[in-house]
Amino acid sequence: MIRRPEAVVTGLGLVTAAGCDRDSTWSAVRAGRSTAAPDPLLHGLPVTLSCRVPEPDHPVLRRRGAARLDPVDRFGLVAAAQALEQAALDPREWDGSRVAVVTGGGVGGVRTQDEALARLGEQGPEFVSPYFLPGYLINMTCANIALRFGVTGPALATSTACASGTTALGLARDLLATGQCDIALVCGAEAAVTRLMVTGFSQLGALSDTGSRPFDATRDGFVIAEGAGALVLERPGHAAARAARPLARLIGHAASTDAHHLVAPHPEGRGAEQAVRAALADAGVGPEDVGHVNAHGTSTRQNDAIEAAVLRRVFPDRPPVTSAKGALGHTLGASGAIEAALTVLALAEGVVPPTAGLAATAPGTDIDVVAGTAREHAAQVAVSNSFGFGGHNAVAVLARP
Amino acid sequence: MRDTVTTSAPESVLDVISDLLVEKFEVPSEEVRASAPMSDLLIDSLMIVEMAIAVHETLGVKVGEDELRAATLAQFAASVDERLTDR
Repeated sequence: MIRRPEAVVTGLGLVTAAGCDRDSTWSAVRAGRSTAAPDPLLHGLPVTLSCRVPEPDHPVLRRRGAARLDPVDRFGLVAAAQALEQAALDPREWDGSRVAVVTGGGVGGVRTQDEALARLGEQGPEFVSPYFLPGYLINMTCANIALRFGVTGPALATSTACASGTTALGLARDLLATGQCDIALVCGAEAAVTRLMVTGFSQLGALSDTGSRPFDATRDGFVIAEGAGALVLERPGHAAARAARPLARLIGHAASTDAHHLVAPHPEGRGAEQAVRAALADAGVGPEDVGHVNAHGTSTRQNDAIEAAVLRRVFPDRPPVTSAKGALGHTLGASGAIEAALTVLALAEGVVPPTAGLAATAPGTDIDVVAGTAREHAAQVAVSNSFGFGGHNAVAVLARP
Repeated sequence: MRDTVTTSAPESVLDVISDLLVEKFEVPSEEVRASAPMSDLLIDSLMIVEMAIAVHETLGVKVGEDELRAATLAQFAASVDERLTDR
């Protein structure tokens, strides 16, 4: 098999409801602590539970213009800045033309859109801010990161609904592999906890108003969340030349599409299984090599049952499985990047975090979902799944350095 | 249309616009001087448009973008103040 050139991960950034930094997010996930809370802004809606990010305070935001950015862009900038700091990359010193940025997001700046729409309706068109479109367009997290850090190589915004973060990771890997850049900054970001978005997901029957319980017998939907995750990817030779310490390797990625229904997953998980198997083949590893699965695990009835069946078929050795959505809720297009970052942390520490909210696995699940407390488990290779509305499936394979 | 601030308001128009520059447009307060050209304080066309909206909304006075670009802070405040007083 011809192996694709792999990429190394040299920096991570996290902004979640658990806190606007890596450590507070990792400690909540590692402890299996839920961040869901009743949300006053959702008052009167069928679902009022969310995982909201506390207002970030980071030096990257302490400059003129930051306050009027949509929250999705503020979250993305903070996560990206953290990842660059950890990678010890100084944007004032790099050749920006050899740097790419790839973002993933489901919806763009919908809070900015809500505000503009309210002004249009209540006050008229002359009161709509010129900052509406720069805040709303889905490519603007990407553009803000490029502008702030002087990235002049390819800047691409991917959108595959809840698979976007993992799609971004794969595209960034391919940009590195094809020599289009030496450094690829990946960022999944979402700030879509609005009354309209919550209503939309609620009308699809996707949301829980009782809590996120991935793979649990009583699960009844996901809890909507905000957040951002960022990873610095580099060609291994580039990282080695500047003596950067890899945190992990991104050794495989694959994407597939259900082509079955716009929002319902294929009942046998056809596309999901295809993506998992293709990602393993891309990585050049077998199912027996995988020691940790970071499941998409949304806590909806359908996703978790279908995903569990896929994992049973692909991984007969039953590696430990976890879902971060029990702790952090579902950050939609950000989730793939956030969970890839968490998977890197889990591999580095030799643990599999528990699935918060999981009390009793649903009958017939028959996979080894970690519950209660983190499990000491020295995995060499981990798989991270993301499946999105639209039938988009994306899977990343990560390995210890 | 809203008419939140009238000529009897204790805060001067200069104060209102200066506050907008600092709070909404994040201009460092030491740079907000009466003699400063508005086009130095509002550094791109989006900010100019946003300021015109903010003045319209806060003081109920419609101002033109060209007028904003040409004036100093003091001149702009005086011009808005004059239109408020005329009503």
